[in-house]
Amino acid sequence: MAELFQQILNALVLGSIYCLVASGLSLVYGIMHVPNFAQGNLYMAGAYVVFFLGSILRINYWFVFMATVIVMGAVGLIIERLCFRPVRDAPHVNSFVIALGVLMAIEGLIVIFFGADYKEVRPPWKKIVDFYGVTITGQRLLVILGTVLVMIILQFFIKRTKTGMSLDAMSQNRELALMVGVNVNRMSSLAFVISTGLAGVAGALMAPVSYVYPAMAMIPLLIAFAAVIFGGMGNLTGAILGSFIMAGTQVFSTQYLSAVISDIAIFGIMIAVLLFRPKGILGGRG
Amino acid sequence: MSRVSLSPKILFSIVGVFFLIIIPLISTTGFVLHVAILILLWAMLCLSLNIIFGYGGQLSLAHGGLFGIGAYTYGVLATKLSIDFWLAFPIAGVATGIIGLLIGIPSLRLKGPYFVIVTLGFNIILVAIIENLSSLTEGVNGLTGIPGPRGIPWLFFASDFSSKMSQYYLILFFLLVFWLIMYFIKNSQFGRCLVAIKKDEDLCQSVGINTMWIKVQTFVVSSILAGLGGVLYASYVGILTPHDASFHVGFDALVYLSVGGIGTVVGTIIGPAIMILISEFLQALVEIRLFINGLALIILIIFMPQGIAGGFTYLWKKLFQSGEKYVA
Repeated sequence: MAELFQQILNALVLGSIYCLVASGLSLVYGIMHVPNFAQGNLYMAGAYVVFFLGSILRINYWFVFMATVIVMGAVGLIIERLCFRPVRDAPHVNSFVIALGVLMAIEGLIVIFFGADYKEVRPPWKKIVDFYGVTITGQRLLVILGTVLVMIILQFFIKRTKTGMSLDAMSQNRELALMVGVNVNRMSSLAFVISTGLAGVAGALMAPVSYVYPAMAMIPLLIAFAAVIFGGMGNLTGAILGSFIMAGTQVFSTQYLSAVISDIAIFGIMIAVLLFRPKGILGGRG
Repeated sequence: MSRVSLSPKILFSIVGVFFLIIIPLISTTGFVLHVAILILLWAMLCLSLNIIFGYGGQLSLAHGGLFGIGAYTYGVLATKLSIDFWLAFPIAGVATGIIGLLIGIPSLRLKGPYFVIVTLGFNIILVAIIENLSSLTEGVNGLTGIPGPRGIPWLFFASDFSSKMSQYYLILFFLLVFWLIMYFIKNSQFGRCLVAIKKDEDLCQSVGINTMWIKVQTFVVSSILAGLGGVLYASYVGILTPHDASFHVGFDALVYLSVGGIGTVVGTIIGPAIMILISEFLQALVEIRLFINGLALIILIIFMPQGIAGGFTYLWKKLFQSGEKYVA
């Protein structure tokens, strides 16, 4: 029984990370209709910022956390302005290709500066919490709690503030939002900054838990896509639900079957959802 | 276009092919030839991607995996079962075609970003399968000792493929055949349907074209060509690792194709030639390659989405045919 709870905890930790990455994907897709293939690499870049500030410059983790989110937000602002805005009126497929270019450029930069080997970030909080035989390290607990907090703030921002509501309005009905005077450029920048900021949060939370290396980007990216598709592209609640379901699928099928079957199961679910419920399991807008 | 005999397009093609044929005669070192062979092999992959993406408008990110499937099929057949190149070559083509069909039928039902994501997912699955079938593929250790093609004794110019030069001509021969296939696809009724589907799929359906079937056929042809390119790659380098099937291979092909010109014939060789020459000149800075590729992709798509071939055509029309009117 304790083992089952341990697996559930693992799924919650992974699900939290996917949830942060997937919310960013979903937000950008809702506003700009760009599937941002670079989102996984932005998560990886966030982890490298933590490695650089925390392990090389040896700054306190909490400052590093804040700095990472700000740096990644700024990176998002630059990427949106320089890479995606120029192709906004071009055929859609151009922005897909741009996203792949951003993915490669980020990975290239990371390899140039840090090399391709594994880096380690020391966790700031080494305490292990024991709860009736189920143990969890402090950092993993922080991943779950931090994600919950960030998601609550995000939901509050989108549903309760004026800027957030215009963001939501634009992802629900672009033309109507434009008609009532929502500024496209401002909303695109904002969506991108929030999305890269969320990727930064995910990287900062996860860096002390796992190793930091360039190839860490791809699996979270694809699972986040699977999660976003599961919940319906552009639907934030669906993306959150999808993330935890995908993380559960991954953890349990890896534990009881095998890693390959786990990959196939996740993409199998994704393809099945696309073929039979193309607007996502929640049946929202597509 | 009406004066076929004097059309600059035909003239340039003849000069270009002639240049490709004399490269081994003017190159002095084996290294030059090695780079030239790599360019031809990449041109094959770009060409197969061009058929489905350039003409069909479907951005497939599974082409690295399909290339790897062809390469590994040949590698396994040649090393584990000692099957001859000339028999394994068509088998690998058929195998990749079947995989392409299995991937294409579910993926091509999807449009836009969904197709791209699903094909990327399929590539990850293909690599996972290659890594885990270690009894056949040797997993992450890599498959070594893959033999090159055996000579054909009764064909005097193909009696031996041990030298680099003969391998160059073998690969060039297949590339020319692939180009002809692509040229015929482009200029057939089928190709025109394909371009029409790229422009407006709903309209094509409404006039009774079975768009799904055309896209599936195109994807299968494209897969077969990618797989055959993989076979030639495997027989040339003699060693395969799962990295040769990774999505990065498909990404690189996309970069090269975008540099050359998406949807053009000549772009499939110009792109790889320029990008591989640049990366060979920067040999000391091999880490920078990925960054340069990404940057080149972003800059080209923003400023020159038609690539170098498109830019050249534009300049040509500006310079020499300014009196005539062109519809953009």
